[in-house]
Amino acid sequence: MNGHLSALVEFVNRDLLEGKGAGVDADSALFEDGKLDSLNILRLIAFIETRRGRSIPDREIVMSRFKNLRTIAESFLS
Amino acid sequence: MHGHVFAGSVQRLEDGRSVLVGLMPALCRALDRRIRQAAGGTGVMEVRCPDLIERAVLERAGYFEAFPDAATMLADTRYALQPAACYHCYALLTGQSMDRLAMTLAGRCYRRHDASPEHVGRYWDFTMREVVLVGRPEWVAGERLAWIQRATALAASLDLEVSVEVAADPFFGPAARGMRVLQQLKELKHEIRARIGEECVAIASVNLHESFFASRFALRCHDGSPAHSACAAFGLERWAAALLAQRGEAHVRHIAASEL
Repeated sequence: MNGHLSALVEFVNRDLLEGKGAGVDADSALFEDGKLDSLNILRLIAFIETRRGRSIPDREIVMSRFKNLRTIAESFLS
Repeated sequence: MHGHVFAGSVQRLEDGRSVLVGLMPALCRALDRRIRQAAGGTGVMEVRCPDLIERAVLERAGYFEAFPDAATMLADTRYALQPAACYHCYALLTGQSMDRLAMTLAGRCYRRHDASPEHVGRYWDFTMREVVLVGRPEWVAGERLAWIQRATALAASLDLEVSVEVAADPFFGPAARGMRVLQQLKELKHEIRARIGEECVAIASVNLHESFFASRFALRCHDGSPAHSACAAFGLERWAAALLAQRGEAHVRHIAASEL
């Protein structure tokens, strides 16, 4: 797991899910069962934007890129 | 009589209000009848609600968080002109349990927004026919897909060219970016879009709310689990304007004939 991906996994489990529930790994579906709500998706986007140093346009926020943390890392942080 | 009625148009006044002249009122009635017929075949219950809605209902539905400047409030600030018909349904059903409930209602709806005056398809007031679905998540999700197909089938039966697109509400305020991107990500909103002149506008939308409204209005399934909801909304003036623009007067006259 590269540095960006491991940082994403740690951020989501520690800061967004706050250790509640089963947590997520690199391949967990992020938006099933309401894991992440509208506030958390904004925090996740802000985290990605900070790491990559530029913003993400809304049109690029689609399920094929946000399916799980691995697809996010490959789409925005590689 | 209908041979003497000119085709007319859907006019957009400078402030966004809409005026229908000529065949257009009859065309809207004919379109509404066709949507009701499509709904009737699925066992939908018809209801009629006031155009006025309590501010408290919109607050409970989270309307002002999502669309802070869109409501048309009355001098009596307990009420607003309804921005969509479906809000009445959630309020009517508050605290109830249901597994498969479908309702349909129509009404004049009112939304202020920042559309430029020349935007052909965006009106302050417009007529919306809605089908509201509440019940078990898998049933609501299936019916939502079926209504996307029914809407495109209706367009095909009218020889109206449309496309289906995943969308996000363009009127979400800046504070509601999270709701907008989540809606886009989960493909909760589909729009049926049609060309009116140079513009391609949404003439219907089919929206899966999941538990958004159900949790706010305490709607549950019979086994006590949280219900889900969805709605299919048809903007009649936009359907009429698109038909006239795409197919011309003779076609419109044929469709409207039954209502003249």
